[in-house]
Amino acid sequence: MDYATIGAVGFSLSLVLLLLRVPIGFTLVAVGTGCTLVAYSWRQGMGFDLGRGINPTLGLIEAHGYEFVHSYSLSMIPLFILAGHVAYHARITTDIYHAVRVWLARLPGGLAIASLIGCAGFSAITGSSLACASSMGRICVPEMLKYGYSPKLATASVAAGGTLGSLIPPSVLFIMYGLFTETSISKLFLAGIGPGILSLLGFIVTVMVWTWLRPEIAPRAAESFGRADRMQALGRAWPAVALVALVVGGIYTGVFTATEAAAVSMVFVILFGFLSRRLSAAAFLASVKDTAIQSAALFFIAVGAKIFVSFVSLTGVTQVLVDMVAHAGMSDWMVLGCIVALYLVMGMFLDPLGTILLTLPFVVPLVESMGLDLIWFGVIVVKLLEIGLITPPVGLNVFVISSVTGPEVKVHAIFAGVSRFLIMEIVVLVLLLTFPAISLLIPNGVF
Amino acid sequence: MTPPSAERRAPSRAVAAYLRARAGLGRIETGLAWISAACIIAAGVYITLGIVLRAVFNSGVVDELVIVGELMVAAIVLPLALVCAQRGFIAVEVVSGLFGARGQKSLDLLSDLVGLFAVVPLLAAGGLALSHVVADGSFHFGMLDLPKWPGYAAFVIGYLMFLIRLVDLLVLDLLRALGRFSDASGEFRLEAGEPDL
Repeated sequence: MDYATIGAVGFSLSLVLLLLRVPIGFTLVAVGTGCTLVAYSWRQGMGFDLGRGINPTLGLIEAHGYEFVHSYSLSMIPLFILAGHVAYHARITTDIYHAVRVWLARLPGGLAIASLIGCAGFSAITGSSLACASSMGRICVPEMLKYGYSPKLATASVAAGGTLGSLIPPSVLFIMYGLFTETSISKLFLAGIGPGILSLLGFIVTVMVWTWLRPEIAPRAAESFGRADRMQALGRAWPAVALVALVVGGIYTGVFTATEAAAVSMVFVILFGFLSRRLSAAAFLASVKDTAIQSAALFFIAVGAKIFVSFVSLTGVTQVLVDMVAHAGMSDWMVLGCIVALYLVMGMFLDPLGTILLTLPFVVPLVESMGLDLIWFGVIVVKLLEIGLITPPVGLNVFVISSVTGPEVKVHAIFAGVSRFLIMEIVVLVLLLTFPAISLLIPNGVF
Repeated sequence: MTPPSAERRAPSRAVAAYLRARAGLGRIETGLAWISAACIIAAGVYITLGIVLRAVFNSGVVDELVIVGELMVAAIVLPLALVCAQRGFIAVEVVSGLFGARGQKSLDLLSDLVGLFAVVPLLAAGGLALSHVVADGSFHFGMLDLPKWPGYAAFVIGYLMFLIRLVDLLVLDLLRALGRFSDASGEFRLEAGEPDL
């Protein structure tokens, strides 16, 4: 059997198993291992000999299962996750929202804008879109509903704001992308800042236009805050500001690597939490245990992806794909358009991590053959995955918000509200595609 | 509610022993998750200590890459069994929602089987590598010449517990598919006149 056929069978089998609700990690490891064994046992021009395939397959699995996890640089994933959990329990992440809320209370749609800025601040600490949507949804949505905001605006602004979690550093998706494309994670983090801020501004403009056209959806708050209240609110946000400055500033100035920034963040939030008495021992222990469980689940998928990627490389399917595209005579923009369409469609049905790990082995060689910058492309991929988080029918962030609000707000109402933000997402995507400098200005200025 | 044709009986010795074993397995898994949690904290503190020593004394900690790497193996692999017990692995649930109750049970069984196909080779590869590093007395290059076996031992323990939990889930899902386990009460349900497990 030729390798390309084994590759095609393996990829098809993976898709079928994924659609049958088999966990992503199980699918990638089992199919990757099984197909690698077949490929080694059934070498071209020779008969099938299982004995010939077992040792190289086990060696490869050991390399990807053990050596991959035995990694200093990857320790940043559990460390950032733990920092995010502890920051949440110590109310560092939510204080950003409360501070901005006081400042923007009188502005039309002020609470929705405060939610968006709060989401951006939350993202700068945790790095997870779903955690951001879930945590901010619990705080912001009920408050907006209480002040008479339209359910569509209240829910959609947090669902859209939650997507910033993947783009604003630290970001688990950037770490995974960097890992599989062997690009600098520090550069990717810095490259996400410009597009993250641009997306935030786009969302704010969306809220402003929406509330300007229909003022009744966001009544002005009756409560007013004095100068003292504002200064006090600002003072409460300092730990979040310090934490962001520590991570971004540390990486930008070269004082820390991304891994060291993660460790310092973790120590900072734990010390702050205990010293300020905002963090109880029970909350701390729960945070650490949750981190262990989340990290294990995440890494099992990554191990599976490593095995799967190595199987794909072995079969040479990616080279066949690159050759096919080269012979098709498509322009770079057409290929890029196809890749964008692929991510938009996959993002509608698969979760971001599954999408990124399944597609990178095929897409990155194509992008490299076109001579495009992999850091810039990483930003585009993460932006596309973000869009998938609020696109029907799966739109994970929308369902997270729906689970937070309960039956009070129907899912289709949230999707209807999110459609305004989706238009802005497409505008931002086009800007990022057309002007790579938006992504590359900061990392190129540093490295 | 118990169907008219079913009755609740005191579990037989075999079922009672199985339930005790499950409870014991759960305690071991929780213990392993706590060890993992301690490893994450230790890794973060060790890296931070290195930064502080570098900034203040222009020195550093010894064998940072090796020690953090070893801690990472324990941190990532030891909680896998607990994640499995909680069915916490990420899956895509777009098409599966179209299946009925019986279909869902079949999909659970399929997941368990594919999981076994995934974990057995990882455990075999880890066990083989552990036997090699123990036999060779392999160690990491560095100031401390730390042995390699602790990391591999953690790897094997983590995947062994993962495998045991997967087998447990397979048995449970099989019983559930056969209608011998009540989803609602979490108890074994024995049909009248049927032999006990």
